[in-house]
Amino acid sequence: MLQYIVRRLLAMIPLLILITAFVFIIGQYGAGDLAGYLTISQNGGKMDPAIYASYRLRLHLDDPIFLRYGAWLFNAIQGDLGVSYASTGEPGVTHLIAQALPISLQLGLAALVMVLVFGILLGIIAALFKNTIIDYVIVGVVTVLSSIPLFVLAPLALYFLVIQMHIIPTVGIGWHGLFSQESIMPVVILAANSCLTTVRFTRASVLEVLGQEYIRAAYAKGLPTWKVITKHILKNALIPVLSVTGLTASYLLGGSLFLELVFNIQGFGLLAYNSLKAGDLQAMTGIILVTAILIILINLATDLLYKWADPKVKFSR
Amino acid sequence: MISPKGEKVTQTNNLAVSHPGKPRNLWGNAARTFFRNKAGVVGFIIVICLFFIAIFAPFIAPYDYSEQNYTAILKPPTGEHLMGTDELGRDILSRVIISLRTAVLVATLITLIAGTLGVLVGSIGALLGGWVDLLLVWVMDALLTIPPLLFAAFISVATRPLISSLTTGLYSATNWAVFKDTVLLDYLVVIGCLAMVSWPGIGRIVRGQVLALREKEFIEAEHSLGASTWWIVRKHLVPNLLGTVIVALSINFGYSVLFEASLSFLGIGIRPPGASLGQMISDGIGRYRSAPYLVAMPGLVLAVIVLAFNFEGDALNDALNPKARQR
Repeated sequence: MLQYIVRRLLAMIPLLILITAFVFIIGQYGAGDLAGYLTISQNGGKMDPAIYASYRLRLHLDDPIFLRYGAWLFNAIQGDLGVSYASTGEPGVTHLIAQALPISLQLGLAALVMVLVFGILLGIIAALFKNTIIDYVIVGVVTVLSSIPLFVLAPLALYFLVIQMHIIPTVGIGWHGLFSQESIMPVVILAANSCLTTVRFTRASVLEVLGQEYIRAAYAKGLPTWKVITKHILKNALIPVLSVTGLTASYLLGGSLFLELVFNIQGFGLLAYNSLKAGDLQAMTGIILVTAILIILINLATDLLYKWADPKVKFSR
Repeated sequence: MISPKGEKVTQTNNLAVSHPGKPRNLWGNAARTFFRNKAGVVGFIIVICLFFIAIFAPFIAPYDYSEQNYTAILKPPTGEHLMGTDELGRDILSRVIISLRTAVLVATLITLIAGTLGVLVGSIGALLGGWVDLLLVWVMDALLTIPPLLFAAFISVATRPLISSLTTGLYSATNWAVFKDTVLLDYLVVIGCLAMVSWPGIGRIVRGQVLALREKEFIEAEHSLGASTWWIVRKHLVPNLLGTVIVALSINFGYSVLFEASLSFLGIGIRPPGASLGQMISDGIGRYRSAPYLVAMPGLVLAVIVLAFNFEGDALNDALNPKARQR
C-alpha cells in the first residue's frame, strides 16, 4: 500500500517536469519583452536603457532558456513560483495562489458533495424505475443541464430562478464564505452541470447489480425492498461510481473558471482568467503546475479509495 | 473469426439472427444498429443540418450579420427578427448562423489535425514499442494531466505573438491581404491550441486499441501464415481501428465546437470582426437581466450542438464498437 503510494508519487515527477518545461518554454517565447514592459511601466512611460539593462540582469533574461527553467524549477521546489509582474505591487505567484485556491476548493468540494449525494440518489431512482417516465425525466433533465455550457447556464439560471420566479432570494455576487447565501447559486449550478457522469454511471451500475442472482436470493428470503436496496444494491453498485469521482472532480476544477467569472468569485479560476487576460505568463506557469499537481493527487486519491472499497482490485501498474 | 469470403463476422453475430436472408457486412450492420437508436438519429440529423447551415450560411441568414439597424436595437424575438437583435441592432439569428460557419470550420480542421496526429502517434507507439512507446506515452500523459480548456487558453495566449509575427512576415513577403487579416490569426491560434490539447486523447485510445489488436489470435494466425506486416496493417488493423477512430473523432468534433466557443467567450479565441457563439454570449452576458435572449439564443444553439454530438457519439459507439459498449 505505502509502496504503491510512493511509486505513484514518484511517477508524478517526470510528468510535472515535462509539463512545466513545456509551459515555461512556450510562455517565455510568447511573453514578449518583460524587461521592456517593466521599464516603461516603472519609468513613467519612457524607455531608459540603464533601467532596462538592470531589469534584464535582474530577470536573467540574457541567460539561456534551460538555465532559467532550471532556476525556476529550483525555486518552485522550495515553494517560490516567481513574481506576478502584471499584478499591482508585484506579489509572489505563490501568495496569489494561496489566497485564491482555498475559495475554489471549498466551492468545488461543496459541488462534489452535492453531485455525489444527488447524482447517486437520482441514478438509483432512475435504475429502479427503468424505462418509465421517471427514468426518462431524470436522465433527460440531467443530460440537458450538462450540455448547456456553464457560462450560459449560470446567467440563465440567475435570470429564471432569481429574477423571474423569485425561488432563490436576490443576493449579491462574490464570495462571502461557503455558508453564506451568496454561495447557494454557484454551488448548485456547478453541481447541476457536472452530475451527468455520476447519474449515468450509478444507473448502469445499479441495473447491473439488479440482474445478479444474489439480489433475487435476497428477495426470495423475504427481505423488504428498502433493505435489499441499502444492504445489497447500494454496497455493490457504488464501487464503480467511485472510479468516476476523479473525473468529476477534475471537471469541476475546469468548470470553476467560468463560474467564478460569472459570479465574480475571487478564486483560482478567476486568477487564471486574469493572468490569461494580462498575458501574465509567470503566474500562468504556476497556476498550471498547481492544477496538474491537484489533478494527479485527485486521481491518486480516487484510485486508493477504489482499491480500498473493492478488495478484488490489485495494487499493480 | 474470418468467414470464407474474408468478411469479418465477429461483430455481427447478435444481429445475424434477426434479419435472415439479407446480405450483410460490418458497415451495413453498424448502420442498422445506429439507426435503431432514436436519440442517435436525432443527433445525426442535427449534425447534418449544422453542416448544411455552415456551408450555405450567407444564403440562409435573413440579414447581413454585421448590418446595424438603429431602429431595432435590443428587440426581443419577433417575427421579423426570430432571435431578436443585439445592442447594435444586428440580427441575432444571422449572427448565430455565421457563427456556426466559424464553429464548423474550426472544429473540422481541429479534428482533422488532432485525428491525424493522434492516429499516427498512437499507432507508432504501439507498433514500435520499447523506448519510443514510453516516450510518446510520457508526452501524451503529461499533456492530458492539465484540464484541456485551461491548457488551450494558455497556449493561445502564449503563442499569439509568435503566430502574429509569422503572419506579418508572410504578409510582407507575399503582400497577400489574407495574411493581414486578424481573423486568420485568430483561426490559426484557436485551431493550433485546440488541436494541441485534443490529439493526446485520440492517441491514447488508438494506442490502446492497437495494443489489444496485436494480441488477437487472428493477427497471430496471419503472422503464422506468412502475411507481411503491411498486409496485416492494411487488411486487419485499419478496418478494426476505423470504428474506434470514427467515434473518437465524432466526440472530438463536439468538444472542439464547445471549446472554441469557450475560448471566444474568454476573449482569447475568435475576436471581432470574426463571429463566434462564445463571443456573442460574452457580449450579451452583461445584459442578462434585461435582455436574457442575448445569452439564451446563442447559448441554446451551442447546447443543442453539444447534445447532438453526445447522442450521435453514443449511438456511433454502440454501432461501431459493440464490444466496448459504455456501461
